[in-house]
Amino acid sequence: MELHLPLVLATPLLLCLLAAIAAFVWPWRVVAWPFVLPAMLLAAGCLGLLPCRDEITGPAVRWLRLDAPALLVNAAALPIAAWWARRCERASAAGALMSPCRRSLWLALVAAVGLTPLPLVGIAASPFGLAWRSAMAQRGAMVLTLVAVACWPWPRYVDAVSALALAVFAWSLRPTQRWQVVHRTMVCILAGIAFLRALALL
Amino acid sequence: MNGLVVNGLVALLRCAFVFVLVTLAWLFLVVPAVGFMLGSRPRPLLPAEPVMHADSHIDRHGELWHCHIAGRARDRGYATGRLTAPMMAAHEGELFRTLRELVPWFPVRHAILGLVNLNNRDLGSFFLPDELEAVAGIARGYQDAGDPNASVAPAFGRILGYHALHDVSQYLIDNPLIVAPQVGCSAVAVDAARSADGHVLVGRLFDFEGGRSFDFDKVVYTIAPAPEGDVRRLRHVHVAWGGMHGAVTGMNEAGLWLSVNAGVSDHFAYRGRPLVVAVVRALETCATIDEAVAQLAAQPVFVSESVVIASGRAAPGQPVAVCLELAPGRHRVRAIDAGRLVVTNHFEHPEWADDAANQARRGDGTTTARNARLHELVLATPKHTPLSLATMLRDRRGEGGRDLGFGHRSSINSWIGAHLVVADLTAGVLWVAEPQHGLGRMLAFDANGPRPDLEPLPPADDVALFATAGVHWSERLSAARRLVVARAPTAAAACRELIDTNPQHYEPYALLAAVTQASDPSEAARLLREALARRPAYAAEQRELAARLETLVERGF
Repeated sequence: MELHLPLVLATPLLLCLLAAIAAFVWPWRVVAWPFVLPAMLLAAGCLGLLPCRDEITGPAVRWLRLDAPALLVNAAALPIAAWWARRCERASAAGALMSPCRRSLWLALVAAVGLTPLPLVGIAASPFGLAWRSAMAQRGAMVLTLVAVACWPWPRYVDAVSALALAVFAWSLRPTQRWQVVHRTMVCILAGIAFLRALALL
Repeated sequence: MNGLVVNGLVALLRCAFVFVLVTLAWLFLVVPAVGFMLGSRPRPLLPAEPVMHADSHIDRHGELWHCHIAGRARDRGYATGRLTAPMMAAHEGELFRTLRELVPWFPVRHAILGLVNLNNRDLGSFFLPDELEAVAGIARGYQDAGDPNASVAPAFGRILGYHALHDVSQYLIDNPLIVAPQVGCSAVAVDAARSADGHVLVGRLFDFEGGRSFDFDKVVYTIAPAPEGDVRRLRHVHVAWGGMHGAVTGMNEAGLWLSVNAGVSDHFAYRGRPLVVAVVRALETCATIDEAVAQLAAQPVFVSESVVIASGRAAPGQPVAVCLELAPGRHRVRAIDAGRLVVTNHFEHPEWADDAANQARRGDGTTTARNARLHELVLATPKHTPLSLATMLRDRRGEGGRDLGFGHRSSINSWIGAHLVVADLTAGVLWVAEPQHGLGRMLAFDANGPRPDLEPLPPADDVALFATAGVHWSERLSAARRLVVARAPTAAAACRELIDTNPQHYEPYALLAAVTQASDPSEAARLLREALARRPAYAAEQRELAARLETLVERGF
């Protein structure tokens, strides 16, 4: 089977992952833009495929969610995530330069936003030095995330399970700084979006 | 100091890595994705729900599919999509398989298809409204029948693109990323003076290597268009494949014949009106050669093609057949001369004499050899019949009757053809060959449907040879080429088997020479002489073999 359309839909994600690799090799902010900028435009451009949705079936729809909520969230998520990553970077680094490894991880976070289901993004944010109130809850959130990944062929369950994972993850956080409060708020918003999307598919 | 140099080198390497990464990402991801997005257009809303006209049906006629389609454009399209869906699925599958063979690496295929989509982004603007409705109807019918390739791209955009396949494949042939075989079509027409019963006769062999299903599942369409507006619509019959609102070989109820041969010229455009759609329009609306020439010459085509236009009812003093040599922005008309018209894959009108691409095709391709052989064969028979035309188009010998074996690309029928059609235009009848490659029995049709009252034309004499030796020839030859390139231990045995099967074909000798060149140079020189004596199909091959032989001769072998 020639999976050209699934690859088109996954292109924003792949570009973000390449941005992460490029940033790891050459830690200079500008290297991300040749990847992230087209990723943003393509994520928005995927909305143009919506009128053709009736003519498309198979993995393009099943795995990559060619539906209005998914595409709208994707189109909006990349710029928001880019802004969010930059804000967090400023707040956390306190004037110091970010390490290449850390910058690439942030870009990987941006990449994850490009892929549905969106809630996995929140889990990807866990290694970033946040304080937590329950390690057990965090492990539970990770297990739920793995379950969500296993449910990939059934989008509605992916959304429902990963929304639950996000909610657990948000509860497990204990913010001590302002930017961590922002972080937790964003995770909660993502969980809400995931629940709404799961409901829309049910 | 050393540390500075090392740091500088590392920075340079990092910079180069990122540069390569950006380039690859844009080439294989960004540009194709943009192409697919722009090329994936939604199916237009049809003014009314398409319906299957009561007269539309498909049935098996001998080993051919006959599909009768009636009604308005959108209904005809819908019926085409519904009735020929299994053939469309088979053709699509084979096209993808062929593309995978030509371009084995998926990212390159993705890039090429993305660029083709990008190029075709406004292809719909070159279709007339009723033609778009017909294509939308095909897409809808195909979906209703269960489109198996719906995850590749939306159906409407795909089917629209297939209508430009004939044109697009012509400019992909020269693409360095594709190893495309050079193929050719041959056509011939004779006037009343050269035919046994004073009728105008015409025939063509359509060579196309898109896949075997284009031969096995060819469809003979008889079209009964309903009037649309004040434009006259003529019944017509044409031979094509599933899901096609276009024609490459056809004849209408006014006795007008149109068929298409690929050409080449310096005139070129990246976008335009697919010729197959323009040809079916001419079949629907034109009754005379002049009308068809005027209509086709006004089309904004984007590749060069020869269109054979012939009529069984031409006015006295008017030519009964012409070749419209059509290129973007330029056309010339070559009329039948001395009672015969031969068309292969180059332009012959004197005004193309300074066209470099056309001259290169004449010098390097197989078109000149096929053309010369057709002229010989036309002159060899004083009075022609539909059967004699079919026999000419099944010929596999070289100029002067030279034995080239079979499957030789410079012979008229190199056993790659997808359909062979001959027609008696005065009687309004055409005969279509059953598989394979134009060698089978030929069944009669007119613009209304099959003509069981007319005797089929007999199959070719080569049917038995094809069944025993030719059916897997091209696969075996390809396999031997791969073995030789890979220097496999079995390569020599494979080449010798090919020589035993087809001793007059040059290529097995050339391949075996490559295998033995290192171990036995004198044997390699002998094999190269054998290959050259059997006349390689392409001038480039001839030059390469001669150069290899010269090297060996200089070394004393």
